[in-house]
Amino acid sequence: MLGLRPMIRLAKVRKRYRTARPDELALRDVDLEIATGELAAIVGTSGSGKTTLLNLIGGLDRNYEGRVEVDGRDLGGMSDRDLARFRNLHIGFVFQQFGLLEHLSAVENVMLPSHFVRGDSPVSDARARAVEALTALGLGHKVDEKPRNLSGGQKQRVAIARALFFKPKLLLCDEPTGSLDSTTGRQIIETFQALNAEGYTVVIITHEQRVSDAARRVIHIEDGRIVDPGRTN
Amino acid sequence: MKPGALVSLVGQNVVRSKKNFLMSGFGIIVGISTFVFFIGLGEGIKNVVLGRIFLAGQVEVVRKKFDTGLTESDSLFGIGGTRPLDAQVARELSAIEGVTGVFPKMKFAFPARGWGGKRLFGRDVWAEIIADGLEPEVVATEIEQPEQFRDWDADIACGDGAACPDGRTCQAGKCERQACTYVDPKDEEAAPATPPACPGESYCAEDTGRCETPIPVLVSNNLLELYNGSLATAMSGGAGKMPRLSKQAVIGFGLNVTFGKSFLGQSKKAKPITRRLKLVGFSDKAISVGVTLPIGYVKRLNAQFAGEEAAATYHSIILEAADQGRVPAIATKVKAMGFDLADKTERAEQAGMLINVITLVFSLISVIIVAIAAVNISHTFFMIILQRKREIGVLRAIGASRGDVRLLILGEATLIGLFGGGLGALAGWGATRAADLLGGRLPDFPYKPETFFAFPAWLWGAAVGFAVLFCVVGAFFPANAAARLQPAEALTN
Repeated sequence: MLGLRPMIRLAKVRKRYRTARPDELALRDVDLEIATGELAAIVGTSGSGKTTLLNLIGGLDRNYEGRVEVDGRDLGGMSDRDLARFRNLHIGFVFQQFGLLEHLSAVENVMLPSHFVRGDSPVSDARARAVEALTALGLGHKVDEKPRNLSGGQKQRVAIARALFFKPKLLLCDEPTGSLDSTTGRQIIETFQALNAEGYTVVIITHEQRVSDAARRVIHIEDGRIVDPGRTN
Repeated sequence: MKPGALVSLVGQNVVRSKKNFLMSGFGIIVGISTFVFFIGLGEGIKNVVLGRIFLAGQVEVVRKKFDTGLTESDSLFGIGGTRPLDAQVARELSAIEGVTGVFPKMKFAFPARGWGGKRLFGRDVWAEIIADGLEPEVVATEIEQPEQFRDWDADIACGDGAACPDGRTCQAGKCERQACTYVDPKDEEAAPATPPACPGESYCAEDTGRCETPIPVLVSNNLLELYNGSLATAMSGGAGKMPRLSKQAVIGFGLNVTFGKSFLGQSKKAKPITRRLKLVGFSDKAISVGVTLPIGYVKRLNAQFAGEEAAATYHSIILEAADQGRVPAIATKVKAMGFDLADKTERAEQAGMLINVITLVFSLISVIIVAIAAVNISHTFFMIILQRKREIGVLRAIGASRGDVRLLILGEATLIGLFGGGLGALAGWGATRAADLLGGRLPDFPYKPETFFAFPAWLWGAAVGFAVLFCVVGAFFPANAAARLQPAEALTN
């Protein structure tokens, strides 16, 4: 079910890296809207700007021109502290290399977002919630395992459990199947589809056909421009 | 970030980087142990020098001296000079801010000599007697039996259950000396069966023909130190060997003294008299070399052998300061009033300053060691941050703010500081124990302390605090660099 309000809205977004030439833009006047509840794939060749785009949507990079809104909030107008809080509670990240802390167990990795909660959002049952998230993803028997003892697919599911800890509105995934074999990759894609069916807005950066095939909308980016904004199937 | 989470994450991070931190922390341990060692040594020496040799926390006020190059006097050729130290001056001095006690001291203004000690030395020893007097309440808390250090010749009330001392009877509410027949000690030796003329400790005085109570005296702790450390040692190889003495052995020691006559001269005011002295205790407030009596005796003896003026003028007034830190201000005020400080006070100030300077120099060495360790810690953190760059990016992505990242790094530095400081303090303390063991094997010398070290409570806090401070300072720039990382930049590492 797609919402009426866009979850993501970019208007005239430009991005140039500090080390780049003045005319070398990573993103060029990008206008984009992704509705609440969409499962969108952003595809493009290497260096096309898709990861840069994801970083801006996720509030991981604040050096840009234009306007980036997520869930109606202008990310450019937020302080570092507010933006960190927004990421903490409203955005879940899944990375190609999983981004797990090797010295922590699976459940401790999943609980990590609870450590950074501020103000009036105390988390008293963090471990129970983390175990529940892991169990839901079929890892109930691996909660105390260190990442080095988990397979690639299991690691990615731990990362997904962590991303879902606060049940965010938006799930941003950067090449989530890039380090996985085809079978495991398919399982992960199915997980994202299931999450989308539950109401999560999922945006996946990928260059893999099988991933884009699974998405309900495919956005093409090329040389920093949205060349095809795609349509929701 | 929640404190519990911070502690948990910091602890886990330190454990996984323990090899790096052990190397960096070693410098902190060495620096802090030297800090504890040298500060402890400085405090220990200060305790001995200022607490036993010179009495710190006190100011001894004397009349201003005029030094003509040949002689020293209270006025310059009879012109000028400060007021005599009398009761009025004592009251004025007590009004100085920071003064908690005023103790007038009065010296003998007449010659005296004493003899005795056969019980201790195997033969009687003769000596010139130098003495002063002070109010008994001044030393009441310092000596074991303060009731014995009192002016027995002052009026003593009796009756209603209050008994009189040996040799006195209660008459009309007052203890009066009993009459007795004086027997020359030589005759007493020749006829030992003769019963004593006076009971108990009292003795029959030749000049009064009455039973007198021995005059209680105190000696300085330093005097016994000087005797054992110098005189007994010097005499240990000769024929006139003198034993080392403990405090317990000499308490109760008796001495005969002739007031008004010595080897150097005789008083013209009155005929010499002989009395017995009895050692009743030790006090740091007693005269350094000589004996200290209740001031009432000194006033009466000075009046008898030197005149009324000598009985009304103090030789010095000791001012007790509320704390050591107040001494300089009190000293300045005293000088502004036209009085001078006793040499001992001046020397204590100089000695204290010298010890402080030496301690400071050695402490600076430990500060340099810790500072070098802090630079090392800084390098270690820069390296660790480089290793954890992607991890920092992940933490930022899942909700860590710049402040959280900074707090994590500084938390690790604090933990290293706590461990390094704690272990360093322990190592420093161990080194002081070892030094004391070695010091115990040194031959005895005056004022040799049981320990060369003293550890005020603040030292432990300072040692750990100092270690934490330097670790945090060392980690400050790496922590800021980590906090400034853009999450996207860190994730693409």
